[in-house]
Amino acid sequence: MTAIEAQAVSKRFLLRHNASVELKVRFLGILHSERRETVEEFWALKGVSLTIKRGEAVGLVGRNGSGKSTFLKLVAGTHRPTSGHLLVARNARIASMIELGVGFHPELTGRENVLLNAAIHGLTRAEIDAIYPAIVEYSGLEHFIDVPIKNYSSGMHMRLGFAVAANLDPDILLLDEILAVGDADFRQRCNGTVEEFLDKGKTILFVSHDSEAVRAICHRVCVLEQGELVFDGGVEDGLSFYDRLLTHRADHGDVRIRPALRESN
Amino acid sequence: MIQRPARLFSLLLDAAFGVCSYLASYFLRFPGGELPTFLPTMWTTVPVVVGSQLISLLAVRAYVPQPRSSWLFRVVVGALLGTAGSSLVIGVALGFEGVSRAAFVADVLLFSIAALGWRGIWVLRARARLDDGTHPASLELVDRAEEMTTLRGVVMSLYRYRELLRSLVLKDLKLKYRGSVFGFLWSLANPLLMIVVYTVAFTVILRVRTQQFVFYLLLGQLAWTFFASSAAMSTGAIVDNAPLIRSVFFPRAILPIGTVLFNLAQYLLTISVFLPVMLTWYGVPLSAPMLLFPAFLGLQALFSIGVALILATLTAFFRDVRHLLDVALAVLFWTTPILYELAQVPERLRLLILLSPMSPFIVAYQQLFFYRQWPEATVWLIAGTYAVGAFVIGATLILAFEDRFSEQL
Repeated sequence: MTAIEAQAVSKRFLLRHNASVELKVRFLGILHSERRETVEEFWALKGVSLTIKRGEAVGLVGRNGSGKSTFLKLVAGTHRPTSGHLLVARNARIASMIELGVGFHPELTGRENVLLNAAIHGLTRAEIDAIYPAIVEYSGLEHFIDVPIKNYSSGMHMRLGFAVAANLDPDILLLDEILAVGDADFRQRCNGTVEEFLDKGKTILFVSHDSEAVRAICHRVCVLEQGELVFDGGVEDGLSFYDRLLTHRADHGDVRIRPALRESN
Repeated sequence: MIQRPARLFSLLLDAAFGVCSYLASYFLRFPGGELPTFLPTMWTTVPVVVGSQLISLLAVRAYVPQPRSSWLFRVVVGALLGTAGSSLVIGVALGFEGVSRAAFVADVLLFSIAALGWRGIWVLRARARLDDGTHPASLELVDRAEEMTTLRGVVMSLYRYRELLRSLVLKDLKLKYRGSVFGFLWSLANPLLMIVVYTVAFTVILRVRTQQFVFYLLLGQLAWTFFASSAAMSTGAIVDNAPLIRSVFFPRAILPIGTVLFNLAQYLLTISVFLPVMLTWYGVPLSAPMLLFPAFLGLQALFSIGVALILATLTAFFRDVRHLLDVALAVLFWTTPILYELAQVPERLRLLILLSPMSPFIVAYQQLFFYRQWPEATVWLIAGTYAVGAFVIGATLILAFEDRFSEQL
């Protein structure tokens, strides 16, 4: 049973230098070459093919700018592939813990924000009513739930965001180093939730630089390098491959390590 | 697969709608005093009309549980053939004695809308049940990026996200009045002030108008405010929600549609207070054309949604749209018959003024409530074309560009 299938997915970003959303500047650009908008292509992902089964916990590892987060964004659906296809199970609910509490409105109370945020994730009224008590309990903010969010501390803000995401009953969970932030208590809670998801057989995509966290959560590791998938396999093999990749880079500068993929297969 | 309604249920429902729409078409055709003289023939011919409609619906297999081709298309064809057939039968038998031919045209339209309407609601509900039933996710893999680019996919997802639409409207309403002592009363203060100003300006200073003309002014002014503030707010619908758009997947069209519905809610709140008060205050008698108000309000809402989709999409790429809109609204206000009557406009400019984007809707309200007349065909035609046209253009535009929002913002 496949949860996510990437078929030769590529994603191109256009880096606009001197970019402007003003008409005036655009017209001026015709006359003044130094102000003209120049567009540089940047391929964040190049032909990535990947199949993730339901219930798998996959760690996405790679250096900064290797395309890990872009891949998560494509799965989340906020960005679309430039070419290739990214397929997900129909009606799969995808919870992203990339940015917690995004879309919270400072003037609204905790309760109102929870209701709005759940609706943003496509839940119906009945579903929201059903999970609302669990969200409040999970966040531990019963006492502050009718206070406008603007009076929350950043920790409370994050706890509420995590409580919503954790209780959406997602089929696919996207994690982006969230476990590294927050106090010890919060981290423990996050880890507990992730383990619970694993027990329930949810699909998890985890982006991290932290080998320990990857070991704790994932069954499988994919290494991305300059937008290409260079390793796909077991956790230990993947992590040591990534270590070698880093040291190799440090020793030899920027060299292509494409042959390594064949080696690992 | 979607479960189709039972045949007997469909037949009964279609029969009920058939009778209603035939009756309604007579009401439309003969407003005022003529109606009683024609009602008897209506009741004698209604079995023929509805019977013929049902038979032809059966003939085009609109009641088959699993038809091969489009169900909705069959229904329209069935309704058309049925009504045409019945008018032929009646024409031969009665020679159209005491029967209105125009009523048949209205009947086809009304009956098709009713028959399509209840089936559409049925399909949406069945589909929603199907969706809810299959969560957790079904086995089928889909390319969401592709699915979201079809109009059908968008309508479906709008229905799935109806709770979000409701929450967004409620959020805006709450935020607007939170912390203010008088709350909702403020949205009444503005029109109230306008009444005072208009009364003084037109009846005391200019002395060109009677008191009742203030009612005319307010009809146009309130409807204009609904449109203008929808348009102005919609420019920020996408741009101001950039963080949300970058991190959560949902149909983007929800945001501009939400701003229009918020303004619609405001307008309805205001008008539900002012309309009864004004009608009593100025002694305007109730009349049948006023029943058409919801129809034109619906068209204006659809038009505003179309405009909002266009503006929201354009603003994501050109921030100038906001400033251009300010100017455009100032010009449009004067090319719309709000402070003057359409009849005062020189004959050769009249059509031009009527073609100004908001004119057909506002002229319609004035005809319904101030002149208490049935709007002319031209008004209907322009209003309908603008509403559908703007919506189609807006939906197409946002579908074509929504995948670029998250990178552009």
